[in-house]
Amino acid sequence: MFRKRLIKPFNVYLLILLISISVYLNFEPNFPNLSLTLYIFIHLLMIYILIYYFHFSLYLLFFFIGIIFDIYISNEIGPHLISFMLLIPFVNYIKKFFATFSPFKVLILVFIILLSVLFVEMIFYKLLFNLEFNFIFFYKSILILFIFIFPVNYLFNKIDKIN
Amino acid sequence: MIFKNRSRLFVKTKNIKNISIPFLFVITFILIFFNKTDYIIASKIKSSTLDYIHPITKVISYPVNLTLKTITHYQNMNLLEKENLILKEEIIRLKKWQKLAIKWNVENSALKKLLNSTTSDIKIIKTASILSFQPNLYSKTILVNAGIKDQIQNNHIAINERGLIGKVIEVGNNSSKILLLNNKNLSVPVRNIDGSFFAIFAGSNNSNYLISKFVKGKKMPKIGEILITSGNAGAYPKNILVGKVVEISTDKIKLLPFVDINNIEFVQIINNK
Repeated sequence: MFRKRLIKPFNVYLLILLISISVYLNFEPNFPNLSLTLYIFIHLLMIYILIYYFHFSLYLLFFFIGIIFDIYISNEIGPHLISFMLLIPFVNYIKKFFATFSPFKVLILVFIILLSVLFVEMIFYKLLFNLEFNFIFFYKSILILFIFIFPVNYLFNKIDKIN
Repeated sequence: MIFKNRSRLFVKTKNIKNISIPFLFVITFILIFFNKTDYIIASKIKSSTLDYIHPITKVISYPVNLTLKTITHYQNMNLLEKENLILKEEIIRLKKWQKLAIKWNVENSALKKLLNSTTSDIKIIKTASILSFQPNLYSKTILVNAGIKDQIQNNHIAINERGLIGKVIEVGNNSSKILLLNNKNLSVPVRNIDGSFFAIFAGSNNSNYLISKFVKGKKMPKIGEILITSGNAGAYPKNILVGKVVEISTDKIKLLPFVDINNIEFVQIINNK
């Protein structure tokens, strides 16, 4: 009974998020593309949770993830934090417009939101800390997203069916 | 009665939501403001995050890191034969250099005695090992296992046996963050051995090379020339190896750092005496 109550999709997603973030922050430098894939996966997972499992506590969770990402990635507090905090009300607002969308259309929307988030982060880095736009990273992200979005979506669907 | 209590609880939760969400947004903007103004709180948050989050994430990510390390180990094993040949050639070359170095060393100490000069202007503070690499999208940093307790401070310099590695940018109690040499935001004033060429180099999008940001005068170095820190502005101690010139074009000079950024195991934190 207790185990059933504990193993819910939301909890599983949080666990995956925790593990992914930990792995990303301590990643081996000899695998840069794998590290980038993980970085995109974390963003994808966050958007997915936000769309399908929105909970008030996500504000607090995204707040801490934003701070940790900013400190580890650039040693400056700002771009990730503000992007994640703005992402929650934005997704909550547009969610009602795609309530009737098919899963495939939602997936495309997730794809667009993710690329927008990555772009917004880069804009904030430029505006706040004058860090250059890295277009190679952006093109790589699009490519990685194209390759992994369907397998990841399949995995997420399996997790959704846990209960 | 139960219904009344429930509805009160519901109202309470709604109130908490109404208050805490704007509160989190306010905190977000305050943190960004503090960070931009280099306020002490932002710095404390950064250092304590490094101190507390790193051990937790290290434990969680241990199995994955172990797997990746094993893969790297086996990849390296495959390259062993090739590396062996390269190393044999390097040993022959280094032996020649060693003979010259011994000769120069004797000459150097004799000349220093004549000039009555001090032996070194560098103070070694601590030798530390790497906790984690963070060659990320926006900055390239490493985390080392020495901090305030070891008397490390911001702006101390990190070197290894090959040369300059970077600069300390954040110090926690037990760990410090070092901004690597190939970072875009780290500028290094350099000169050539005979002191006829002075320039400032910084990292580039291609993290393997450093690119010249400023060149003093019109004199250009030769390809293959070794550049060392000039010690200008006191940002870095003098005469630390930085890299070798690999490409010269009209608007920029490319420098290959001596330090293999992806394969650092230990660093020495130093400071000017």
